[in-house]
Amino acid sequence: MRMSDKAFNGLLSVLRPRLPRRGLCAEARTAIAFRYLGGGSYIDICAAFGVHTATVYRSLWDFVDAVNSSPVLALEFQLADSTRRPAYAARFQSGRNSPFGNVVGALDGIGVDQQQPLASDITCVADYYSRKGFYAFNVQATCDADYKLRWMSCRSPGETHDSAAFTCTCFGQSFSRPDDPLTSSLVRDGPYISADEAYAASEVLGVPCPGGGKGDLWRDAYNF
Amino acid sequence: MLELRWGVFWRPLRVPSAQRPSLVGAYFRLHNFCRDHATDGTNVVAPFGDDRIGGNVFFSRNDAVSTDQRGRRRDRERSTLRVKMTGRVEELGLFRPGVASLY
Repeated sequence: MRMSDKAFNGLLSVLRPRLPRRGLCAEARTAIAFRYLGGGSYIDICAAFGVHTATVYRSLWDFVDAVNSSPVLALEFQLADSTRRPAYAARFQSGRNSPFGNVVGALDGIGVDQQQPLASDITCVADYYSRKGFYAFNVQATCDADYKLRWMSCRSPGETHDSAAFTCTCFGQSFSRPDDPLTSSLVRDGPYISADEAYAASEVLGVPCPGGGKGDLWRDAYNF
Repeated sequence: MLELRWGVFWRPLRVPSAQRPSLVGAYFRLHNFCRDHATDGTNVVAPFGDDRIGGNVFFSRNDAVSTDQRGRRRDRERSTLRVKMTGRVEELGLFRPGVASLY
């Protein structure tokens, strides 16, 4: 997938004030970072841009820091704002032709494949060996109807179940307390986040009925 | 979708543990930037910004399992929300595709 010139220049204008002024220009740093993030080998990048290996990684981390520190690119999920929730829900309902009018987000987790972590860096290496057969760390994320990611957390190792990983997050901690202002506000007004069967059912997480419909026509229709 | 877009996810990530959250956070932000160039976006403030930083690993008790339970019993979990949504499906008379023709 290629990025258009307009998009590249738009991103560059956002990142330029946050990239180092000395050394490589902002365009080259951004291009190197994109090439690496797109799956390029550092050897190819060194040859293509005529830079040293250290420059590739320095450019990558400068770029990552610039992206993370830019408020324009910040992840945004204004769930606490009752005036924003209807907008989230309306996009879900219109985009999916859904019978449910209160879905404000979709929650799921992914295990990001990583190399075996060093025992000196973490408490227990085995915690990172996921059930899928590789070392990973668990990332929980919520997206909206436009597939834009609104919230994320990567605090748990790959072995952690999605439900437990979500409970470890600030979001999960809020949802597990009925007296939390956000949770009580959501329960009162009706919006909820849809999730798959891995998560525990609650008043703010809409999950499928366990074990399928079990012969009940409407439970089966709801699960679908 | 994230893995398809970012080729660096196609093979095991070679990044120190402490730097993983910032790297994944950058992927997510860039993903949104790419989506913004396909759809219109709005800028609002995230209430849970702290989750994007730090790589602490800790375990807390799963809220669905109490100490006297051997494990989660999914069929014992009760949710008024789920009952309400199932009622909504019934009210609208919606079936799973292919099932309606049987009735």
